[in-house]
Amino acid sequence: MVPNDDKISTFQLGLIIYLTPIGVGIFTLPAVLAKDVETNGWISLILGGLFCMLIIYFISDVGKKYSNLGLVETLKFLFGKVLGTILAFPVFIYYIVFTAMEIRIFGETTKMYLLFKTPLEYIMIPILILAMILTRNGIESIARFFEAAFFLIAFTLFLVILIYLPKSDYSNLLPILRVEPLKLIKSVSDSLFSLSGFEVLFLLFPFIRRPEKALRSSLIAISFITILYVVVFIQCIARFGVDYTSTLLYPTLSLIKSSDIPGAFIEGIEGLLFSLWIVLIFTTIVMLIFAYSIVGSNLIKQKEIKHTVILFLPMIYVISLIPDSIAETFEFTDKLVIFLGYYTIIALPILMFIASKIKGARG
Amino acid sequence: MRRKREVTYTYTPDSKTKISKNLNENIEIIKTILKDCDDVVFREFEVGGDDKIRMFLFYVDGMADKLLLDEFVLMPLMISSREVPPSFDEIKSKLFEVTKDNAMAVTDFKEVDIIEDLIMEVLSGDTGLLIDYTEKALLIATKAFPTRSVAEPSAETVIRGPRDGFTETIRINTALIRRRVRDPRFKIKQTRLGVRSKTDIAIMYIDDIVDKRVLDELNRRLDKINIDAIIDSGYLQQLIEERAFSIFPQVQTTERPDVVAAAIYEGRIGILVDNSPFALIIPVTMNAFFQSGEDYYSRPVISSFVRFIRLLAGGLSILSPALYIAITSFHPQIIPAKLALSIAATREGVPFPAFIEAILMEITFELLREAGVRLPRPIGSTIGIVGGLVIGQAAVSAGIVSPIMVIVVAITAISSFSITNYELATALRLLRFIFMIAASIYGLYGIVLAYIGTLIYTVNIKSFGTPFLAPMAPFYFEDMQDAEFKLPLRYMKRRPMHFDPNDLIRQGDEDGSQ
Repeated sequence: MVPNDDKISTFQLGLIIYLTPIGVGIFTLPAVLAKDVETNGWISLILGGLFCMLIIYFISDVGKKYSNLGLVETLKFLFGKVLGTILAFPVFIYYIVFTAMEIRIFGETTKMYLLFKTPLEYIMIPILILAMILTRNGIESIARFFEAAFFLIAFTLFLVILIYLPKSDYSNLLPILRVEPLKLIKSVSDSLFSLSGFEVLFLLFPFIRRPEKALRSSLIAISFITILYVVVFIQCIARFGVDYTSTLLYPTLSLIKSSDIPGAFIEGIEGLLFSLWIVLIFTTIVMLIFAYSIVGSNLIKQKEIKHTVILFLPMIYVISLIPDSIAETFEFTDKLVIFLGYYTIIALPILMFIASKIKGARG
Repeated sequence: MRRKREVTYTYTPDSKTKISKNLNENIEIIKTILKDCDDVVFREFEVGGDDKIRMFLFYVDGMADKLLLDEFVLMPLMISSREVPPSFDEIKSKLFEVTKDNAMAVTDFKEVDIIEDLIMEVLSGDTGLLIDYTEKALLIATKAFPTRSVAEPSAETVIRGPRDGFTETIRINTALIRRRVRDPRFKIKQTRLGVRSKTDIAIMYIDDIVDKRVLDELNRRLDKINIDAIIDSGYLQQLIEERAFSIFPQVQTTERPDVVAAAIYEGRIGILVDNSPFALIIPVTMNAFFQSGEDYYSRPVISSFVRFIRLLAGGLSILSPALYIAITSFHPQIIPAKLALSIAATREGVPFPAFIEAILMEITFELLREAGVRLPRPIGSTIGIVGGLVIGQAAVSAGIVSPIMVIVVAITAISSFSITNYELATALRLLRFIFMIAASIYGLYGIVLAYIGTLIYTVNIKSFGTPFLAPMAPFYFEDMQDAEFKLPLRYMKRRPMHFDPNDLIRQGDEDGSQ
């Protein structure tokens, strides 16, 4: 009999931190990096991963101290009631807009690769409803869903990497380090934002059964994502070269599409892999919805997370339909990253870390 | 002569009437309660040399062993007691003890002092004996009713493994389990359920392995039951399940005592219901439904392979028609161009869209299957011939379906028959139609949506506190020894952790310590 306390285990936490960042980013990332830093994308990815680990250290250090409070309550505790609420509000907006954009990009991509004639709305609505149902069941069900989904995904990823390894020209990866250091550092932020989603760790602290072990499992999760991204990037560059990669919209999908397995029953394997990717992005959407509903219910003092999920769902649907095209959606996302992303992912954890140290020194 | 008192008595299920010293009064009450029960036999007789002691015996005809009553109860009381007659005055004070301890050659007695309890037991096959001047009655264990003998279970056949199966008699069933678990810590707790049927229920567990919280939860749910009758263990199963509308069973049913015994050794609880050859096992996981007792008796590598085949069968039985619909009507580019062309060519004459074609064939298959189960054996083979014609060449040459569809239905049929658990197989049957509908709307995306939906649904199911998808979700690394793959028995040193047994060690170390 598993205790029915709405808490997640350390393994489940690691899995959530692993599956949440992997979403639409994995498709576009090689193109973005190839454009900015050419063959050095993998260095940028590793630096981004390391920077992310530092932030995770900050988050878990603060989170451990106030493990039963949650993000909004911690902010209120550290900065006072009014300032704390003001500081938490952008996080809420960030999650709302982020969820909306994620769903929009998902809808566009699915339309482009699987359902050419189905209207966008019909693609987005069922996945939103499913995500809503799962989120309303609470963190325990979400964690179990992630576990159940993970095995299929892990198996497929392993298979794909095996299939694509032998067919590439790795000399495309040279030359390395022929880019300005400043450009490289700038691109680290791209790499960091491809990992965005890891910051839900902050919101999860009240639900972790053993908060002292959160740091370790999150770090392992982040390093696995970094490895996955590096492999994907290297494969794309090795297959297409820098110039071609940077012109593609979804280089990862093109990579899958570009080669067929000799003698296989299935020819266009990208259709099947794409279906699996839907499960991956579903995990991201679920976690984002969960995140905004936690922050939201803390802000409006609604105890039942269940109700907050439904309350803001129409808003997300409407926001997701605001951009006119997929290009505009990406533009929208970039703007979001500049204002809210930097704040939520970088500024807030550092700010809270310093505040908690000062508070700790005083107390 | 004693004075006859007028007895005013009305029976209610809760009434408790003490047995009085006056035998006539008792007889009157019993006969009032059992009025118009013509299968009950009453026998009044006198005992002893001076015929001063009156006794009254009653039982249900056909449920009690008459031979035993004649030879070992009535014979010593009525005849032998006359040969060496203790005088009435001598034994008057200890009449009951003498009758019980000295007079009868029967092994199993019980003393009862409430008339309703006595009648209850008599109605389950025992015999009641009332003695004059005594406020207690004797209950003689004479249960002997017609039973089916132990035979091989028809639903769960194995090639390697024991061939005995449960019968409809709870006593025989508990004996089958007890033969496999000769541990004094193995408990068989018996209660009665059903206000009118008073069906015997046996709850079986090993005291120091079972998770006490599950046991408490089970008892709590059993206490809540207030139904008139429990006809079969299926009744009980529905009454103790968490989700009444769920398509997945949250209680495992089996006809095999070895499966129940193995589950009990894992720290789970077995429940037997009288009149039902199906035992219930709680808690259960999806994993357990894909296992068969045979897996544990045969070579581990081979049983791992067989389990993989079963999982594949589960996947195919849900997915194959849905994939057919999705590929032919949405994504023909997924399969090789030549195959896509040949499918398109065979579908040319078919007047229906792929969805209608698939639904037609699948429903026909379900009809055939249902008819095959209900038909009496001698004409069962007719259905096979008719079915072969319908789902086969005739349907194709009539131009209703394409040959590929026939193959798809055949794969579905074979796969759904290779799943060991009947109840899970029926659940998957239903899921298949949901997946088909989803695929007809959204193609592959629909299949993924249906898959996500099914996962959401299943991760939320708990069977007595154990998540339905354990040990996958939540993940228990140690329990992977006996999930999709099965380790050799000598390496399976621990009991499955997801059932949370009290005592984890299944095999001690080589030095003998446990």
